[in-house]
Amino acid sequence: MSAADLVFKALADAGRRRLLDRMRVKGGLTLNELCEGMDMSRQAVTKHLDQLEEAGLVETRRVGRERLHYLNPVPIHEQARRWIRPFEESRLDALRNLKSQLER
Amino acid sequence: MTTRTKTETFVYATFIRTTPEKLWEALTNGDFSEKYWMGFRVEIEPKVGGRIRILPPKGSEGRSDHGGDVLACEKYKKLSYTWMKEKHEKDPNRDGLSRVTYELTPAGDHVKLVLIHENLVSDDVSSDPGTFRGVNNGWPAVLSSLKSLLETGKAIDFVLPKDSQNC
Repeated sequence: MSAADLVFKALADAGRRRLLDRMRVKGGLTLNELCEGMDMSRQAVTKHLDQLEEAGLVETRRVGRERLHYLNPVPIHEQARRWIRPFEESRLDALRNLKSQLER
Repeated sequence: MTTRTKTETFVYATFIRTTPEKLWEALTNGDFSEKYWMGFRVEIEPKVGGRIRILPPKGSEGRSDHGGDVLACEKYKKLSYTWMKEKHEKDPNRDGLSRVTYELTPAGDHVKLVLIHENLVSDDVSSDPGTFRGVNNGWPAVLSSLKSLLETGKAIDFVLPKDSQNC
């Protein structure tokens, strides 16, 4: 699987996106801390973290006896540069602004 | 009573198709760094206790040197230094300077580069993802550009916002 496949697959799940958001707010969380407030089993969280790590979106460091999890935004940045920014036209922005104005 | 802000650590990793020697050169050579690091020029005395300078691009001379002192230096493997010594040294909100560490690990025909920036305070971090302010917005851009330069020979042209204080 290409790096792009791994990144987009990893992002295609609400639970994994929530884990990424948690690590974005605060880096260096343990598995226990990441499990808190997630309505899924410890095994499920572990599995999601493995998948995120495989996609390069999570980096872990061992500090003493603990394994700390950090968001690594570099692969997302790379995919955004390749797949999102080239499709961003100022006109699309204008349309979106209009839509949000009308829907307010 | 002084309350110390809780410190933060950021970890960034990227796989670059290159050799540890070339990556080391890219990280420590000013002519190279100018290309991928938005014009910033790295000058280093590659030894523990040496000085590292990370000089702002031409036209932004008012901005401070982003470097400090070399804390660890193992050629082609690891480099650690204090960040923005000139600007942050006397900052009462800090308990010591923040530290940047690069770790280079060969992985097949790639090198895994891990960048750790630790002992950061909330001032260093920006919650606005639309700028290069805040180390959390700056490093991913710099690393993407470094990867692009080493793999394709072309760095990324960033448009620096006028108000940008941090890179």
